[in-house]
Amino acid sequence: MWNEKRLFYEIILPFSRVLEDIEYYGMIVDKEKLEELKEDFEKKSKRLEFEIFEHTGNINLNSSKQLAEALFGRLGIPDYIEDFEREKKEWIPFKDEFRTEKGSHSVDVVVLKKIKEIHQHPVAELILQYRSLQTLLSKFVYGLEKYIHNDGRIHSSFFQLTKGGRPESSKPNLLQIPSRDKLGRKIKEIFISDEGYTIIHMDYSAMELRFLAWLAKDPVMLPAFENGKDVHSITTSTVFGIPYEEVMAGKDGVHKTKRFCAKTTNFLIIFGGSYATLQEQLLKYGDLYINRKECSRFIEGFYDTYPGVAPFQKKVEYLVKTHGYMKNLFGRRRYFDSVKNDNLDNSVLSSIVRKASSHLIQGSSSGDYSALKAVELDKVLKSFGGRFFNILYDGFYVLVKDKDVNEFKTIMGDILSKPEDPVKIILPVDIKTGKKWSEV
Amino acid sequence: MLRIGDENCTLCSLCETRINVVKNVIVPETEIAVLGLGPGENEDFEGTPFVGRAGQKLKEALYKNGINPSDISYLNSVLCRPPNNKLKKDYIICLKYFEESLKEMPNIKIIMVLGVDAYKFITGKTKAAMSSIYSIPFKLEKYGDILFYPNYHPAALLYKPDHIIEEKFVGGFRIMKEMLEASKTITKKNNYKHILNPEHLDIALNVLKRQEFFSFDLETTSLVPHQAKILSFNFSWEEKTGIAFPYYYINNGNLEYFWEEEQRNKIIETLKEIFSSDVKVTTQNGKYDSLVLKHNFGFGIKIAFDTMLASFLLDSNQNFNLDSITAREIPEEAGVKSEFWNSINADEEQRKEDWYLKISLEDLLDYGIHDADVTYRLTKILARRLNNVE
Repeated sequence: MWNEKRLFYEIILPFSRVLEDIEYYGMIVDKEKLEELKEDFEKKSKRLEFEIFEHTGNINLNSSKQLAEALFGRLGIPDYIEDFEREKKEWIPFKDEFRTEKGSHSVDVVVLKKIKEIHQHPVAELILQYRSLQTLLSKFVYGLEKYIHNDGRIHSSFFQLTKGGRPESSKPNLLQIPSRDKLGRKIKEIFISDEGYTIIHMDYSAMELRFLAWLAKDPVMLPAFENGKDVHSITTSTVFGIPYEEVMAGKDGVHKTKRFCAKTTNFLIIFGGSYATLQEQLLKYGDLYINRKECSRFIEGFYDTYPGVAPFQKKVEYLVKTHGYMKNLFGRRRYFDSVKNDNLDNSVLSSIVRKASSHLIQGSSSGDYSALKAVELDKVLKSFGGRFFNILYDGFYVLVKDKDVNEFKTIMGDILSKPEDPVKIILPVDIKTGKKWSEV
Repeated sequence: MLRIGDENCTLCSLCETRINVVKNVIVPETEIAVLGLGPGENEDFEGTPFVGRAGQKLKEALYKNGINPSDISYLNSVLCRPPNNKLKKDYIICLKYFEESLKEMPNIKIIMVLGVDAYKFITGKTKAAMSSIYSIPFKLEKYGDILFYPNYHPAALLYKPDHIIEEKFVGGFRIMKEMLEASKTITKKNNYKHILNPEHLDIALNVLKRQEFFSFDLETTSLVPHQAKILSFNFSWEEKTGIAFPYYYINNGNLEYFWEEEQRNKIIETLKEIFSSDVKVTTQNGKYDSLVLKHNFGFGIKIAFDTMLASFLLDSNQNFNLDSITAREIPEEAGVKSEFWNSINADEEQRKEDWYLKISLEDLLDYGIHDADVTYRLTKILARRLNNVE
């Protein structure tokens, strides 16, 4: 049986030593490559600036106010889109205005993406590219330079005290390097393995969803995982009414977008959020604008597809209301004392239930279970003369001697996928190798 | 009950917009007071502090912790309603009424400071964030032994209901009560030893070798482990006792070795031997100390317990810096550290940087041992609690 005491001595403390090692050795930075990137990014940025000015005239692109004046004033781009909002059970037309809570114009990523998708003005994409270049430049090009220690490495600092148990890094925060776009990948090219060593990257595939399927004993999702089916395509199939085989056949083609919507919905259920959150995520990560009514339909579709999930969430609600806390599989508790207030607001309750259920699912999987596996892996790794390179969420990066790569890959796969108390399911892992972070 | 303030006050511009001067409410025999920012709309209208919804929240929290709201004093930083609840520089004149109020409360021990604006008002600081000041008690030189204890302002709970903040807010009163009770018990004086000559160093290292369990803490020049130079080594293996010896020290403004090479080697060799043995070492955020040792000497610590990690595991809603955990768990030690910071006049930002340049060696060592001492005591408390969770 796991409890807080065991969790502390067997996972938290030893895991802290794993993180200590990563910090101590750090990662080698390819300085030439960094210089190259700097030049490249600065050049691209200048060019984008020029192209943007052709639309907006000379403005300060870092000033939201000037940018808003240019977009909604001079260029005459409408400062809203038509959407729907739910009022009680009815969907009513709703003017989604591009404004902050205080009433001034907003030109954040979500707004720019809405302009790009709905109003289809070409300047939006240019600004988006310019922004992400600027962020990368300031955080990971100029920003990184100051963290390179005189041993040529960066020693990022790990913070273990997060509510879910997943460590975060700072100085620099490597989690902020965008993984989805080309530019983010370029940044990762500057982190290289030590001479004679190869980076092995391992990632649990759909770990949280598998935990959800298992804990909720969902009659559809659980067998789907066991039979090696693609859960995102199953959701796509029911939400859009297309046979599963057809979705699978078009999963990288005609049905790619639909599957992306379904996949994003699947993750939304785990990480928590409303239809408005789903809309934002589809925009942010997929450049897709879907109105709120449709987003809400996706969520309903999810619950129709997996009948075990809603009762599971009810159970979480019951538990957190009864105890005032939620315990994950390892005994880690998160307290929600205010759940016992008699006049608890409905929105507060649902936010508590979301946090409680994510504490159970994420906290047990990519939180404490990942840490347990990292500790186990570290022991074997040391016996091979290797070490951890980095940990990002549930992804492990390790360094092993070039000659050991194949042998270690097999061992690593075995260690990581083998279920260990209290987890009863097999978790498949994806393993990649390379000499640079970008290659894995 | 007394009321302190002047209904005809014209010392600042607030007199033009107020309806009433909301005088402080003083219970002369009280040991507890709360300090808010200033009157809100309801208070301005009625002329009484803490009568609005935020005041209601405050009183509920007092009740929940067994404190009768009519037993304590209610103070405000400014006695007239500030427009938009914003403080301006010239309002500081109102400190006069705060100080007059103090004179009427001879037994006052703790003042709970509600919200970051009242904190800024009373400390004179221009920058502060609630998340970093919450629950860290402090004293101010000009107010002697009165302990100030920052908590969220109840109005924060009204704007944006957040269950974690609510729990922290209510919990703050419990901790305040415990600190108050603890301040009344007389306890044994600390026995902190500074090791400053080679003979004492030999003895200290030998004694250290014999310990099976101790707490360990480094004072250093930087929060970044690979840039940090060690100022002092601090150990404790018994409540209220501890030893410390310097490593680098400030000599005429320069960072220099305190010891000759022979002693330095002895320190490094002995610690290497101790830390590679089966000794049980407890720390507060020991990952940092271990990294500093590794970067400086090539060896680290096998940590057997860590108070920061344990306290976070036991309640992730609470702050986990050493001063905060100490205030919660060893209330009689609350505020000791702030006397230290006051003595060198360091604000939060400076604490992170060059604080060590301003401090005497004696104070530096005392400070370090105190950290080691409370870490040792917290370990006992937190380990017991970990054992007892069902």
